[in-house]
Amino acid sequence: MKFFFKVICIIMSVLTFACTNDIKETNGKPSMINSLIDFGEVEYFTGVIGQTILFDIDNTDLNGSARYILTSQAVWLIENNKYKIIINGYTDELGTRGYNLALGAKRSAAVRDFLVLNGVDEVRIKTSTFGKERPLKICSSEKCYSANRRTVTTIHRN
Amino acid sequence: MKKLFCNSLMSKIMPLILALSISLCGSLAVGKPLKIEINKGIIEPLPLALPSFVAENNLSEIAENLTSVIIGDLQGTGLFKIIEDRTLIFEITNFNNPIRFGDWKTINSQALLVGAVSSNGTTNITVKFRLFDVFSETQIGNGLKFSGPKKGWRRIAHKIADEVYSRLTGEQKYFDSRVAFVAQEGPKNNLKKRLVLMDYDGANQVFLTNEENFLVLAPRFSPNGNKLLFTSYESGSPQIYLLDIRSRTKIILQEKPGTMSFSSSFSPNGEDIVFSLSTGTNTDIYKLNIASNSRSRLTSSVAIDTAPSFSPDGSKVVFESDRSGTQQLYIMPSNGGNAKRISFGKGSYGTPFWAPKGNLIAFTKQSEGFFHIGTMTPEGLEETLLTTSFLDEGPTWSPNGRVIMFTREISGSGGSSTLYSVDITGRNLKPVRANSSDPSWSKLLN
Repeated sequence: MKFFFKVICIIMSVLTFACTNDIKETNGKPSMINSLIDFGEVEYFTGVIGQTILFDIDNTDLNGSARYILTSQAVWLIENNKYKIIINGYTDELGTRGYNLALGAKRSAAVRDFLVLNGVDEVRIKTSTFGKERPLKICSSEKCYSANRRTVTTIHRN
Repeated sequence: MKKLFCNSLMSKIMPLILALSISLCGSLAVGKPLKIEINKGIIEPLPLALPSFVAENNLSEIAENLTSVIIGDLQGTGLFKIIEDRTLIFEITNFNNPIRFGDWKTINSQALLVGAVSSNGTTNITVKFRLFDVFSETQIGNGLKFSGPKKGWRRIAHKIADEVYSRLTGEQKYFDSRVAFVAQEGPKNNLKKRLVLMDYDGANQVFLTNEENFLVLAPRFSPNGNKLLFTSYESGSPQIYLLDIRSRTKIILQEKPGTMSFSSSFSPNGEDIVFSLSTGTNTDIYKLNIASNSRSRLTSSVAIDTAPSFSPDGSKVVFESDRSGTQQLYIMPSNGGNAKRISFGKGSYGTPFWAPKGNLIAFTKQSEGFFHIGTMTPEGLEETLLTTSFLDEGPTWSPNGRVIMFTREISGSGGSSTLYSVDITGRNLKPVRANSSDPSWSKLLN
């Protein structure tokens, strides 16, 4: 089983361009990325895999990009099983306070359920909601709203 | 005499009376209550002369302050045009002197309030007043006096204004009441939110939670006004707390591992609360008996069920649910069971709040890019929208059900929240406090 996950990890690492000697073209200029971050580091989870999942308006469905990030999260969490996580759900500002709290909770639960389905032990996961409190971006247009409809997975030691 | 008073005053304040759907005098039938549509009620305010209360022993400062709070209360309703001292050519120097009605008629004041403040040398004051109908030259109701500690002069002022309001409109009182709300500080993406208590007019503000407790939401008064329910992030996730206002002690209600709770409100007898409990995947409405800590589940849909509010008789609960695909209002028995949908207009409906008289339900409506505060009957009829803005939400009722307070948020990165109030006719929309949200209006204080 462990071997299987290691294989997946390696595949994921390749997919996320995070091998130790990777060089990637960025805007035509070659640059080293993440070459110093070890797969076992929390920074790998936060910086390479990503903590944030975005959602459509009044929706809790996980799109293709979300599933991709969450699969990578699951792989990392299984390999680095000394960590626990908290998933916080957020909404945009359009909507009433109570409804948005429930919607944020539903988004964090959708992320939790996906991670559990992909092998992460449920006892390592805590979910919460901030609803429309604590937006990431504060303009009142879709540009900001789309960034605010999110969940953020935070790593905790022990 | 009573009839005379009615005839003279009626001609001037008929529109006012119609707007309030009340009858000033039993002998005159006002007829069918007029339904006032949003932005259509144009009402001539009733001219009321309000000379400074007479200071009987060296209490001129208190007398002036009292007068000014009474003026603020009455003027704030939008129903009265107060004729103040500075525009008066006459003054009242002795509370017991006969009223020279002729003088007051020349300035066209329909009503006259005369008052005096005295003290027997202790820390207490006594405030008395008389209210007159100028054109019929009669007193309206009995003279009254209130006694209390000097430092409680504001409450005495509110009680007198309540008497005047009630006698001239036939409505129940509401000035002697308080509002709990959330004060906001800081940038929009990291607002510090604290619980605050104030008089309904914004005076006597007291912070109830400290800065460490950085995020609190949605306070709700207990029926006797001594306690507040609110949602706090003290434990990391939203949970409901019960705060005793006097002792400032608070307890967490129902922290069940892995769940979140919010959107709470009291039953009319104060013994139970209804609230939303979320497992994440599902948010349902529960009832909790505070004394026994026993919990029962009222809804079990897979949808988001939230924002429950009891009917004043305690038999029903109105709440919002997206079980139909969009947020709509539903009413169910207060022990759970069949929920009946009552909102069918265009758009979505949330945060229902049952009026103290039971005849209306206030709500937030979201439609075509705008938010509205509105009212409808418990049968879902007579939907009336009172406001329109980028974001209005969370109505709460004044103790007499005549005024609604709510949160208005301005769009944009600097957009802040402000408490607003509006008459149930849609008139008299005005800001109450800046940088604030989530108001809960108490019942009339004892």
